[in-house]
Amino acid sequence: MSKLRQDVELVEGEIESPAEGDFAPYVIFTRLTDNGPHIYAGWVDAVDDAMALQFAREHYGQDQECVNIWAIPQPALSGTETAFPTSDVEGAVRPFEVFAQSKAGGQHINVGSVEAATSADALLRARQQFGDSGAHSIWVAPRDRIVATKKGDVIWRYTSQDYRMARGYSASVREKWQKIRAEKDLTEYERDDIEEMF
Amino acid sequence: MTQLAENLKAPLVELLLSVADDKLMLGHRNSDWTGLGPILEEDIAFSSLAQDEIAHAQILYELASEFDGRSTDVLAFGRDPTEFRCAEIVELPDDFDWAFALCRQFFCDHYDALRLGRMARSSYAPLAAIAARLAAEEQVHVDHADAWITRLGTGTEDSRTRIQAALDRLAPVAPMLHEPFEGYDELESAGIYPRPETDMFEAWSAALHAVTDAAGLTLTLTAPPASDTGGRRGRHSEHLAPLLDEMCEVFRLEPTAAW
Repeated sequence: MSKLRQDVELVEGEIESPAEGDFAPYVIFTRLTDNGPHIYAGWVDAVDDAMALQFAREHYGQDQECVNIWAIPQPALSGTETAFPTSDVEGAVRPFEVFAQSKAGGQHINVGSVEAATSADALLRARQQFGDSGAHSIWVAPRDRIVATKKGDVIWRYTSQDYRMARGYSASVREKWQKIRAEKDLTEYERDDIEEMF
Repeated sequence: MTQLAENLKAPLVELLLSVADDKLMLGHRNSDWTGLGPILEEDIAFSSLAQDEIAHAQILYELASEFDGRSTDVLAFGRDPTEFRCAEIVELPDDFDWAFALCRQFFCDHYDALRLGRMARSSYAPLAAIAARLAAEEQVHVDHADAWITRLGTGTEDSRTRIQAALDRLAPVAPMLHEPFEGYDELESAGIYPRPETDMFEAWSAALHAVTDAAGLTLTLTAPPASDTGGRRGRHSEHLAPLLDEMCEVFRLEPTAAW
């Protein structure tokens, strides 16, 4: 923090966490290329769909090429494992997007969709249709509950900010060290040093 | 056009520095919010936007450097306060008032979006190419600011009062963003900084009002008289020098150090 700010007093109670219950979890999927699938990226907490999408853009979309984002309210997702035991979805028959994880620890990837009236039914159909290839886990979410960025929305950055990433940092530090090591005066210094010692 | 007439080089540098200096100061000020944002998600988002501002400044300094001759590092850290071209609004300390920081972004992001939009139509191709993409990124900033002004303006009595107070505090200062830099007219008539489709101040004011009116907030903006001299012509508030002293502390230790 800027030293200029050290004398600024924080008002008591000014920076408090919001009351519990204001925020709800959303699961975020990013599509990295125009023809690629949506892939699980992580979570954000938000008070509504608009805020979820805004945070998702800023958290998961900016640091890599990304053309589209889906934010799905967690209660709308249901899955074959315990992460999403129940879902609030039922009603008319409609499309559900299906996300499959091929092995434990892998990312859930959008593999297609099924038509169903309830989450349970969608999950059943998804297992029949997409589970044969040995999917480790499957999630489904009704398409009408998915909040998506619009086509043409700018998501990923033009400006390189590699230094923010661990890999960018190590690359740039390595480069600097190599430069320093290669410098002639360093070897000269070492030679002088040795001469002095003997 | 990829070649620039000799007499337009200095005005172009003035334009680039006006935009870049605003962004550098904003990025610097806002990066102080890292770890102190009101909620985790917004803390990360706001820090990320602050880094965008600095990245934008860097790109603009690179172009300015081609005509100015000084390196981007020297442009950012090696100038005297009077050589900076930023507006007063980005110099002010926010005293960790979140509403203030947000409202400042709101005024500045909308102005940047208009400015970059004009630059994107420049007859000077290298400028147009850079500005087009920066303008697109700027829209993300505008969306962010608009969303929060709307949300807080229509939130609780407490949030509305705070946002209104910050708007009232900044509304008299913000219009000086529009102060013309040295050589503005030449750059405009040459199409390097093409004439805006509608008056800049009116367009800016309308964009801000569209948000504040809908959020039930009041906003009074008055175009500054042409005789007012401010940051675009090197006349700064007392807040700039201490800000630069700290920001440039490391650079000044060894200005020629190669990193």
